[in-house]
Parts: sequence; C-alpha cells; structure tokens
Amino acid sequence: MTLRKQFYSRNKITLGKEAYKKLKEATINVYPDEACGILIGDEGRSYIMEIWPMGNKTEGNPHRFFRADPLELYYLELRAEKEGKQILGFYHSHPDTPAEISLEDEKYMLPGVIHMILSVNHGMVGKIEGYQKEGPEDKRTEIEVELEEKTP
Amino acid sequence: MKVYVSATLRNFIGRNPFVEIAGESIRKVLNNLTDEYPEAGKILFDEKEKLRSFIRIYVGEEYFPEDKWDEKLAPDTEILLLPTIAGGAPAESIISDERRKAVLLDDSEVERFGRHLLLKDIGVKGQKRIKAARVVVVGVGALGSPVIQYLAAAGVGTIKIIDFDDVSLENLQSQVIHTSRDVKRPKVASAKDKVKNINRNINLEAENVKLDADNIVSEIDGYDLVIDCTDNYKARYLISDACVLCNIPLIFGAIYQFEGQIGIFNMNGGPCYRCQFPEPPEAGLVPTCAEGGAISPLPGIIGSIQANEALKLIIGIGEHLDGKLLIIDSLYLHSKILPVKKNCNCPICGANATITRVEDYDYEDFCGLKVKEEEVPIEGFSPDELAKRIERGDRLTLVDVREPHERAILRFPNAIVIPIGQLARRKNELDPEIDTIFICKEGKRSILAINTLREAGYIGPMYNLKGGIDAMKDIIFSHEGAWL
Repeated sequence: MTLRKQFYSRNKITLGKEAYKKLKEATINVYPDEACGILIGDEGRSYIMEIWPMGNKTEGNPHRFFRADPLELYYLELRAEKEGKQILGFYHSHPDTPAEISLEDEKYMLPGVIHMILSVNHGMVGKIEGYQKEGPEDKRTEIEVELEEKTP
Repeated sequence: MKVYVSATLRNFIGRNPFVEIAGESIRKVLNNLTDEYPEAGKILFDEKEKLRSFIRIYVGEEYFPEDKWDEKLAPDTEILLLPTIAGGAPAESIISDERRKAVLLDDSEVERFGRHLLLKDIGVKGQKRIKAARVVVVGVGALGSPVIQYLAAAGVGTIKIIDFDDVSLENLQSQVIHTSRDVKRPKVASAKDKVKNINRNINLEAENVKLDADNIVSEIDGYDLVIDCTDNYKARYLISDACVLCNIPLIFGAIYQFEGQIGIFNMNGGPCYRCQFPEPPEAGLVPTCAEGGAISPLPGIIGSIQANEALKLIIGIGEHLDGKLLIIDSLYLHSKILPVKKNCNCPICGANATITRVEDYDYEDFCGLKVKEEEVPIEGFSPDELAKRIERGDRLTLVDVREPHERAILRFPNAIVIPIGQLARRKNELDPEIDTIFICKEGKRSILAINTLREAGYIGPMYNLKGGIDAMKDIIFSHEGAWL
C-alpha cells in the first residue's frame, strides 16, 4: 500500500458509485459541520472505491474548519494495511461555500495525495473538486473528479 | 528506535511502514532519519528547518511538540510520524464579486491604500471590496469614534452614521472623533467633518435622527453591514431585530467601566442578539456609560476590534466572531471567547418567529422603560421643589443611594448614605412618619431604590429627586451663596 511517484502524472480520478453514495451520506450527516475522511482506492485504475469517515476535531468553528486526529488516521492506516487497501488521499466538505481550495487547506495540504473537496449547500452535495501537489514546495494542480454513475 | 511513517508520507521515506533509526531522543532520531533519507528531510522540514505545519510527531499515543524533542526515550519506544489533515472552508466576503468588479482604484487610491495592497490576504481585490462596501454605524459616541475613523481610513466607500445627540464636554473623555470646538454641535456633523478630513472621496451619509421602530428599517435596508455602537438595551434589541428582518449581519460592541464585549450576530442565518440575551436586565440595574462610567481607551479597544471584524467580513478573510462573544477585561487583561448558540425558540430568528415587524413590537415595554399601570407611580420632586422644601426647613429624610466613589465627586449635604444593595436591610433607619427623598446621579437608580423598599414592605412616603444630583447642580441655596 504505497504511493508511487507515477501518481502525480494523473489528472483524472473516478469516484466509484458506492463510494459517491457513502460520501454524500457522510458529508450530509454532519452538515452544517465540515466532514472529513480517507479515500480508499485502486491507484492503478485511478479509481476510488471506498470512503472512510474521520471525526472533525477542530478547536475552531466546525462549520468553517476541520481537523482530523492523526492517531485516528494511524489506526485507519493499520486497518488498511491489514485489509490490503490503498489510501489515495483525503476528502473534506465545504458547507455552504464553493468546492474551491482555501488558504487554510493549502497550509495543511499534504504532498503526494489527492485532496477532494465537496461543496455541501444547505444539506445538498454540490460540486466536487480534486487537488494535489507533488512536493511540499510545488504548486498545487487540479484533478478532474469523474463520477462513475455518469460515465457511459 | 522504531519509527512508524504514515502511509501518506511513505513515498518520500521508503516503502516500509516501520524504519529502524538510532537515537535516544526525538531530535536525534529525526536528524538520523533525514541523514539516511534526504527526501524525508524535505517533506518533514521547511527551508528554515522548522517542522512543516502538516506533520505531527507522537510517541505512543502522546503528541510530542518540539519542546519535548530532547526528552530521553527508552530504546524500544515507538515513534509515529503522522500528517495533520486539516483545513477550512474559504471565508466568503459579504460583498459579491460583481460589485467588486464594478469598482476601480485610481492612482491616488493605489498610493493611499498601499499598505493594504501589500497584504496577500487583502490585495487589490480586497481593497475594491472595501470600496464597494456600504456600512451603517449606529451611535457616534465612544465606540462610534474609532469605528467610523478606521472605516473611513481603510477606505469603506459608503458610511452612514446615525445619532440624535449633540456633543457635550463630558463626551470628550472617550469620544475621540469630537473635539472641544465641537461641543454643542450635533455629533453626526462633527463626525462628518472629521471623515472629510480623512478622505474626501468617502460617501458619508449623516443622519441626525433617533432610531425607533418606525424609521429603523428604512435607515438600514439595503446596506451590507450594521455596526451597533449604542449604549442602551432598547437600541440594541431594536437594531438586532431590524437586522434579522432585513437580513443584514450585525457587529455588536458594548463597554462597561473596564470591560467590553464584541460579537457578530445574524451572519448567514446564525444566532442573533436575542439568542444570546433573550431579555434585558431590569431597567436601571445596569447603568449606561453615562451613569456607570468607562475608562477612556476602552471604547478605542472595543471599537477598533469592531472595525477590524467589519473589514474581515467585507474582504472575506480570517476567522471572525460569528457565533461567538469576545469579552475583554482591560483592568486585569483577561480575555475570553464564549460560544453563542442559536436559539430555536428565538422570537425573531427561531423556527416559529413571533416578531415579524419591528413596528408591532413594544421595545419600551420589553426593556422595562414604561411605567406599568398596576404599579403605584413614583412621585418625585424637581430640583427647584426640593430646594424650596429644604429652604423652608421641612422635615425631610434625604437618602443618597450612590456608591461611595460617586459621592466623592459631589456630596449632597445632610443626606444619609445607604447604597442600593443595603436598602431593604436598613429600612428601619428611615422614619415612615416623614417624607423621604431618594437621590442618585441621574434620577434613575433612585426609582429602583424606591421600588426595592416598597417590595421590602416599607410604607412611609417616598419621593424621587427628578434628574438626580446632576439636575441639582445649578441650584443655589440662599444660606450658602455658592454652588452646591
């Protein structure tokens, strides 16, 4: 379950049907707070098959900010290892604001993984955008997020 | 030592979840790790060799910040290198992109606002939003002084200021927008001159009116933001209710003696002033600044924070006091932020709101400012009447209910002193056979004093000195021929 360098050349990722359904539930359940969690998928196919929600432990306003507990991530990583699953990146929601990356998001943006942002407007999932950056000093780039249920 | 590297960091460090690194403390392990894996150094530390904001180090389940990196650890300790997954939604400006784009900055504005343009978070876009903004400031007193001047200096395009009062000498202690030359002028006229001197291009709308339920909606409707700089509960409820009905965010500020409060209400359907303060305190219990006093720079601190919050909302940056109340104690330098929860049963912003028009609501009654019919009205003497009775030598008991430090400013001759809190307990010191007159600074707390004694069962005749000792200042008694 490692992340290969080739990953960066990717400019499109497919969000699986089941994963999209779970993602909608997970973000709407905690609305108006920001939701966050892990994207599990198949790197070779650029395909996200599962999402694993994490708790929002921010000390600020949870409607505006999120923070996942690193130890929660640690235990989820151990679980992924056991189940032979790959972590492709993370998702979080922007309640009532666009799916654009914010200054705060960029500050904590982890290089080498996908960062998926969902806009949740008044409890309805809106746009989904993907972002990534190669190294800590590199500029971020956008990744197109394709929904499996809409592909022919 | 065994070092666990998060899967999300591993492609910079190696393929295995665990690496064995020598060293007896976190710092030594990190040094050895970056020697062995130079790529790891780049992801863990920035160019100033500071740990990056997205990395967290744990020992077992304990978070280890940098100040613990030199602690000696057992050789079988497991160190975890984990990322912090965090972020936030972009702050949204209350000024739309269309309005921002419709605004241009000329050369002199680029020069004038250069220090704003230098800030990454403000820049040209932010300054254009500031210029496009239309802000109402209610109250041109102690809080209004810094708020208006900073908004004007920052370049807020349209500022409406509302106040009905004239400048008096005692205002100059804290209302720094007015000067000695402005005494007896309307406060809005004095403030308008000041703003013109700061920046002639600002569209300043000065309204010399008293806000009430009939005019408030037309005064604030269509503006982007209202800043409450008033000093009384009736105005605060009226302004907050009107803001909810007009859907305008409100920046509230209040000061009392050495303490101040700031909060943002009614932001994107968030909590309103009534959610936090469902009811005002009993009338007369909490004095306004005119009666309770306030240290001179306090409104400067609180008002400056109000202006700062206003600019942040306009530009759409930072974290603000929406759903929070910041309380600052300037005497002991404490501050804290309290969360403000939305009240589902709020009569104005709740699910089943009962107040739908400010015109239909009785703010005088709500704030206890009305004389209730079932209550026995309080009789009072005007300063002249009291002076006559004293001159005549009537048998009177004069009770000064002010606090000790207030009596040091001006004493009332021959008055007995009973602070309000002791009245009920000390009612036996009063003679119910003779008229008793209650005295305070402005004639308001003395009413509270009379009501307190009535409730305590005192039956003697009680009178209030109308206008308090302030109104008595100009009375000259024949036997003294001097100021009282």
